[in-house]
Amino acid sequence: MAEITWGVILAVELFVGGMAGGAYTVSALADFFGKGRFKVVSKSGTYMSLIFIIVGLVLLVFDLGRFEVNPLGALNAYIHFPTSIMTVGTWIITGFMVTALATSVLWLLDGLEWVRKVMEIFGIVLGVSVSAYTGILFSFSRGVPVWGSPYLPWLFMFSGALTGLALSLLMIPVISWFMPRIFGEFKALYNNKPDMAMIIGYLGRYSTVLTGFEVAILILYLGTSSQARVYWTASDVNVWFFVYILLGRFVPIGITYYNTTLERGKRYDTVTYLALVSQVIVLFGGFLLRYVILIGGQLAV
Amino acid sequence: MKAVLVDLRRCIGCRACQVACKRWNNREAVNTKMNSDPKYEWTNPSKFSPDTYTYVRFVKTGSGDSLKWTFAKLQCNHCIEPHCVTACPTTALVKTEEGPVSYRKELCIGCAACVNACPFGVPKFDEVNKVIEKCTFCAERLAEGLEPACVQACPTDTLVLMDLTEAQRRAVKAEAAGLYTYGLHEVGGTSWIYISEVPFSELGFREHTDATPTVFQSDLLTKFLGTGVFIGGATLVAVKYYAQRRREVASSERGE
Repeated sequence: MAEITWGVILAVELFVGGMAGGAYTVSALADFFGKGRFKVVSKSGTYMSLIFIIVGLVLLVFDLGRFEVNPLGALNAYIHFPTSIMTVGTWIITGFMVTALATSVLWLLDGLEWVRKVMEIFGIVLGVSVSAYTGILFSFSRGVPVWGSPYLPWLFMFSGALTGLALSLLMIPVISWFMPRIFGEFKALYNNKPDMAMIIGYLGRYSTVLTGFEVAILILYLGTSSQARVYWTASDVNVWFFVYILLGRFVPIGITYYNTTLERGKRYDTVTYLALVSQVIVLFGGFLLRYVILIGGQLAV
Repeated sequence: MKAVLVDLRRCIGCRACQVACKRWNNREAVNTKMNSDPKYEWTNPSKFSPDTYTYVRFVKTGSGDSLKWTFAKLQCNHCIEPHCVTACPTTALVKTEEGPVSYRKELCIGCAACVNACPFGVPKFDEVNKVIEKCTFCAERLAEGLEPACVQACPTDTLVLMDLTEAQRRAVKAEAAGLYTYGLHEVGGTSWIYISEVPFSELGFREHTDATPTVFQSDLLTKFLGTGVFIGGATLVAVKYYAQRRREVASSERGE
């Protein structure tokens, strides 16, 4: 019986961390190339990247389980640079957190645009690195042969971007519901369904492209790994593998396609609600991907 | 650098090494089960655990009149360039010049990176204390000029402490004589080197290339970056094609 050293909580941490890196990256790219159309999405993604990277770190510290024994023990992870990939990752995550904090403050002030854009350039590099890092950590784990693939970091990177984009969109109504006075423009956008539908339409196309990349890389990964069949044969993960593919990735593409027909019929409310449901499914799929890779890989040893 | 040459032809499966290891390292005796695989069923304990740094695998090969037992003691192989040391973010694991991959528990944060990094599945996570446990080559005994506890307990000289170069020389000689070795080439070489007349694949030893962590990781990073170049190139071509197509459609619509 294979032993599971890294359990479900780590899958959550991987998911949350990758999503935070991806949310920042797509938000910054939207700020650079969106010609002002995606300002609210960019703000949403930046704020969420900060919140979720902190959530990931808190989960990690508690998952290590030595907080009561040695509260500052986790700081030891900063000292073995650059030999240990985990130390490199720790520094990347720290840099990312500082950058996400600074960018969030600049968005809240809504000024100093050039400073924000400089921050975003650093943030994109760090955000991509945060998303890819766990894949590199896995691929370096020689004790788990099925992880030893150069495609795993790319898979996590595209999945991070996809889930990050989903989170950025999904949080617009959530933020406008909980803090309508502070984040008035979120509420204004969400109440303006034609504008919301237009943004959903644009981002839906990018989301579909990212899904295409993720699935293509997944096929490459599975096709080049001799032990990959564990993902669809091991009883602990195989159902979730198919749920991830069919529900987590293909259903959102279907919804995006269906939404284009609804948009032509000017059914903006339905477009918005369906798109939000779709983002929830994308996030669920992102978590399942980490879960299946993490648990399935260890089962294959 | 010290090494141990493990000549499996001499092992009688007495498990004195297991007991000596438990005693020297103050490891609890815990309830164990026989191995569930019929080929290894008399192996007990059947795997590493936080309380089992070493165990003897009892392997049946052949059947009927040709049934043969081979006993293989397993422990940390103390790689010359260890994956666990490369993975450890806190320097809790370090490769010493004397040979042992020593473990400083006070620095361990319980991340278990070493558990998944080890090509031999040696470090085990202690769920109670949230740290890992593994064989230390009795580094403290070596420092005092003593043999590791298991080596000292071995009644048949299956385990012999010697210099690494001497162990490697003997293993090369054994290979030339048609015997099988393990640890001479695997993962770039280890400080525990085995000699056997039975192929190690039949003894349940994991197969590994001679790539050290540096080579293994550099190779992965190169392929990772190469994949990035390919993805980037393909994306640029697709974007260029898409933009060109849109221009063509727009101009043809204007023409109409």
